[in-house]
Amino acid sequence: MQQKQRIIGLIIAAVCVGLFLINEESAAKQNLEKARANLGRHLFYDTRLSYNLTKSCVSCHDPYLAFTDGYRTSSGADGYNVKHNALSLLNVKYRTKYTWANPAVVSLQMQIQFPFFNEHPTELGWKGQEQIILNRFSTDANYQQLFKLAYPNQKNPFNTHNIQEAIIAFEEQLVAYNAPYDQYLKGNLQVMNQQAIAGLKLFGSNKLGCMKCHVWEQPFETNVANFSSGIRIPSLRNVMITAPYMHDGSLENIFAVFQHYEKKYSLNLDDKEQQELIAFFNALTDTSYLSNKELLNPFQYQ
Amino acid sequence: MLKIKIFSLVMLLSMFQIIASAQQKKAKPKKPAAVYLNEYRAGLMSSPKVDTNWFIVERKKEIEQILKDSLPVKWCKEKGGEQAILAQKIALADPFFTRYLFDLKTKKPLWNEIFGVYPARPGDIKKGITSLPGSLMRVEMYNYANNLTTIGIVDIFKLKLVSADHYPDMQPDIPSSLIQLAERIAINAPEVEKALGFKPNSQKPIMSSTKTALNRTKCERSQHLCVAPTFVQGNRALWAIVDLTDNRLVGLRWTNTGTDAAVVTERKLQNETVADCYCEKVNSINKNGWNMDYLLTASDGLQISNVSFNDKRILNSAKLVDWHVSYSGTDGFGYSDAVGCPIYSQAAVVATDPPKIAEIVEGDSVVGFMLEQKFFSELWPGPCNYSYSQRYFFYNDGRFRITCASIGRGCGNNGTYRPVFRISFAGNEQNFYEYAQEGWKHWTKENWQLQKPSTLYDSSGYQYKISLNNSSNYFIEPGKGQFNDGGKGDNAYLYLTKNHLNKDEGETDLVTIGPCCNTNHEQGPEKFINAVPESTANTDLVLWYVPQMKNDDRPGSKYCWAETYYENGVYKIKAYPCFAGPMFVPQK
Repeated sequence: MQQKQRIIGLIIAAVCVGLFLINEESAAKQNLEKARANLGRHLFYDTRLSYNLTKSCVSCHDPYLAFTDGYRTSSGADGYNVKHNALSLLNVKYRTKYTWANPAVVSLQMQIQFPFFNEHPTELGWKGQEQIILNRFSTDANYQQLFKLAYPNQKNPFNTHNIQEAIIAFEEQLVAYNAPYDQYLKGNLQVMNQQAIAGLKLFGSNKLGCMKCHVWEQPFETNVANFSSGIRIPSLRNVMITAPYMHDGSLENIFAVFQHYEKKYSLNLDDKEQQELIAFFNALTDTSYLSNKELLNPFQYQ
Repeated sequence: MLKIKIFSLVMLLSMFQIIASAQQKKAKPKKPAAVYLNEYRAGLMSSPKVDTNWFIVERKKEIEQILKDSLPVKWCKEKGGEQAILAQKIALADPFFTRYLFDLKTKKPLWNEIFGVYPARPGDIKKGITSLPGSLMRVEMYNYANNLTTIGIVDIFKLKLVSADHYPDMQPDIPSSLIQLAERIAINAPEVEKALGFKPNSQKPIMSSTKTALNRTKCERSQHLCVAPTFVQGNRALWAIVDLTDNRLVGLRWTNTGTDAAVVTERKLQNETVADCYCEKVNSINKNGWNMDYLLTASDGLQISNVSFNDKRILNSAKLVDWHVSYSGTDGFGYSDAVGCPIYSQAAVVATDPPKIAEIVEGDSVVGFMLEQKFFSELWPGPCNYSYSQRYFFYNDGRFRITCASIGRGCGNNGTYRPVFRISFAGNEQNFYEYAQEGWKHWTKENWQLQKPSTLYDSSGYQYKISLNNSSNYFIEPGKGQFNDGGKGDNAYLYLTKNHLNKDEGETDLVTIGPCCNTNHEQGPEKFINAVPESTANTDLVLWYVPQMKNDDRPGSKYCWAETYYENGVYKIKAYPCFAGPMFVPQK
């Protein structure tokens, strides 16, 4: 009897040890992910990331504009403009396509090479300048600490791969799936007024046929992006704060978008219907992430 | 026995728990951001340990010396002669004017400099102040530590200060000595040399006098006094952002100035009659039932005042306080500019011709008249040169419109222009309304609002309404691209503030009230909305109107843009102005 109890005791102890180790490992992993995202956050907002200290990721991806920049096309470190309008980084973790016109770019690791190494025009300007830029971080006491926490087992963690990985870890924190429309779909019917509901119906109607292209991006699920005439069909989440529109930023505001499709498809949208659509689009706005200071500029918010 | 075993098991589990939480605590990363923030400031944002440039060394020595004086103020000795010195003496003898020379708590001396001393113009003088002609002088002092401007009006005959106001977070025009210093810092900075590929000894920078900002530096939101000497290189412009509070270069930025065929400019020579006839003297118009005064102010553009229609007074005044030109919302850099009279201003964009009055013709009929003032940079429409137009329209049926435009071309093709209008209606029992779903909604407190795509207008397109002394109402129709002047819509912030008779909130000439590049409502007028907003019912009100226009250099949609083109063997200039401003329509 006593032996049996001892064996049971040992099994329980072993299970406890196992659980403890699993718990430890998962906590360590979580801490590591946090440390990488924190390093990425600093890099994201730091102009030392560009060869001439003029640009960082935030230059084109402003949190207050749903991580776009409000310009038709963004300008790179040398002042020359890139070809396309800056895409929102919100919910990028759940995307499968990452550029406007290249469906072959299917991961953030692939995408991040463009701002780093593009030359025509230069964006961050890493080509030929890698070592100079890396030295800026390796000689900075605070980055030494941040890299050490993010890559504790590496002797020399100051390399391009780690920098890109950390930025991606930060970008994957940028999630906004709590728009009024999300809440409405969960059954909170009060969050959308009659005008917005009318806009939702209009959006889904055969008259407009918007949903033929603009499929609703499901929260926390991998979302497949479609392409039309070689250009990605963007998510409409936060559409009201991401003007100008289209891949080249050619349409200044939402009314210009209405006009564009009016010409193309003769939609016959009257003023009331336009306002209904705008009310619905406003219900797609979620800026709650702005209250999470861990996503904002670390040089302003500790 | 069983109890003992359970006890040991619990102990074992507790031990694991204690070890686990201890290790978790150990593994929990420290907050590097907090440490980093300070280090970042220490590493990048503080002054270099040793300044080797002689002009900075001298400047710092001068500051140290002045801080030892009984009044820690650098006097302005650039122009104005003995009268200017006397004016400064009078101002500095007044305890209200000198209230912030020392830290209010520690009594430590703060670094102050008088930036300018000018003859006071009609726009500077508060109601009720009487003086002999030519006896009033305006003294503008800047406090670097508090980022505060003090403006005093002194009577040099009576030897006394007749009015003074302190303006926190506002900056006056800078004197030429500081413009020179900024240019020296920029030209001698190795970073500038590296970016341009050569030391710009022979290339004089432009826009050196215009205040700027830069995010993630002390220049952010104009917390320090910063300017941006700018070097144009091909189709790009290099901005050397210089912090004149810390006397150092804080950053460089490139902007794309767009392509152009050739450099040809409408170089304008200052017309002396502009200063004599329109800056010193108040002029009047009496036309088609309209009566008003107008004056070219030092830094608030062309101001109209005492405006009445058919003998009914409508406006106390209307003017253009600032131009905020932003080239990057995220980096927060651009120019915070003001326009005005050429002889009293260091501004790069000044009036070169007198105001113009022209008839408004619709079809075959004259339906009203327009009062226009244009402002130019010397080398417009070359890159990084500016031209603005201010237009007031007065119609025979009592409508009027207050507008302005950038005529292009500026310093980049990604620019946003934000002019700041101040409009003060007559009467002291005013009420303000906004059109809402339920009809006209009364604004009972000071407030601001942005015109958005979802903004509601009544059936005639009016967004707001103001009633004056319950006797007449004016509807306010913002620009939505309907005025046939090329405007694409105002997208404007509107602020409603109470007009105080006992403190100056812009009645007299204002210095630069807002930073260049805020993308939100913080354009300057919000400073006049109290922390606890005051009542705006049945009282004296001021409207501040800040349209937002984005420039565009793309063929077919050029806007706020200007360019040269070739025709018949010569180069000519073509402009695509972006007009913005509301129409005021009397309620019948």
